[in-house]
Amino acid sequence: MAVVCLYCDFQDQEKQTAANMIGALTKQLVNALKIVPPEIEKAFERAEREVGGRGLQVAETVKLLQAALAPVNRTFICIDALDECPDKHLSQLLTSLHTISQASPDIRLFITGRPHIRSAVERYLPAGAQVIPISPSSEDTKEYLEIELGRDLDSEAMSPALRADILKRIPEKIPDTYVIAIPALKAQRDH
Amino acid sequence: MDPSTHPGPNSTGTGHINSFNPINSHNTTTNITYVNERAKLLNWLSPLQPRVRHNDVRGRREPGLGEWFLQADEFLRWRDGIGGFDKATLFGSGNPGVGKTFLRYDRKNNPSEG
Repeated sequence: MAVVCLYCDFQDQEKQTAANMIGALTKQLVNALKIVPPEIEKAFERAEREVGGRGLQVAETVKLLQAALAPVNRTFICIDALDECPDKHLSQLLTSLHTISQASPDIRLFITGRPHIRSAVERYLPAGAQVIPISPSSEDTKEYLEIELGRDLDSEAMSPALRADILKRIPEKIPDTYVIAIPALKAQRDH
Repeated sequence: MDPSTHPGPNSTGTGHINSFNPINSHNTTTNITYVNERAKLLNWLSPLQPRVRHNDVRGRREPGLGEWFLQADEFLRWRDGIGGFDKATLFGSGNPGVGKTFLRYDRKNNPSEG
């Protein structure tokens, strides 16, 4: 079994082309394999012989990824923040993943992103996706708050009553306040 | 020459990749060539380095966060294909800051791994 991942990032749009992203999945699989699959080895040698070292096209990267997937019985592909993938590469990336998924039904794709990207996921992956809304559970929030409060260097500013109040009230107002409350708390603490 | 039986020119050392013992401990020169060739090949596949980001995220995760996700029916059905579950894709939908990046796949809790 293998787990490979990709983190889409607004700041890295220039490098995050569909070919490079698919290639990054292949790279992780090859890195984990003792033996480089012969198809990949041969393609690399061909590319090396070409003057200027030609870059990979998307269709080629799909074939190479399939070659890297073949020796692994089950692969989980995780793609984080798909909404940060540039539009021009998004359709190619998802179409490629669809091709791969159709050819190897054992593959599991886990994609995260803001809710608006769901329509693109469903358009390019016509087999459909199970959607799971992600929000921190109140347990998560409590635990996170405990950790942050534990890191508080200025213990005099915190009374047991305030502490109990924070642990009670913030998890109740999740998820809306979560994003706002944590940095706000930190800022308050730092003054 | 049938290319399928000769995966690479042995003079570059890449032929060792197809042997059952990729690291040849008796031949240091071959080892170095092998490592360089492999690094070049990996970089040719992609200049991106998702493992660097991955390790950074992993280092900043607090243990225990996101446990609910690993027990969610949606996750388990998708992971194990229970009940003829045929969707290969799980889409975790959420606004910025809710912790999507910090969910993780827990190998320890995966029964399919022996």
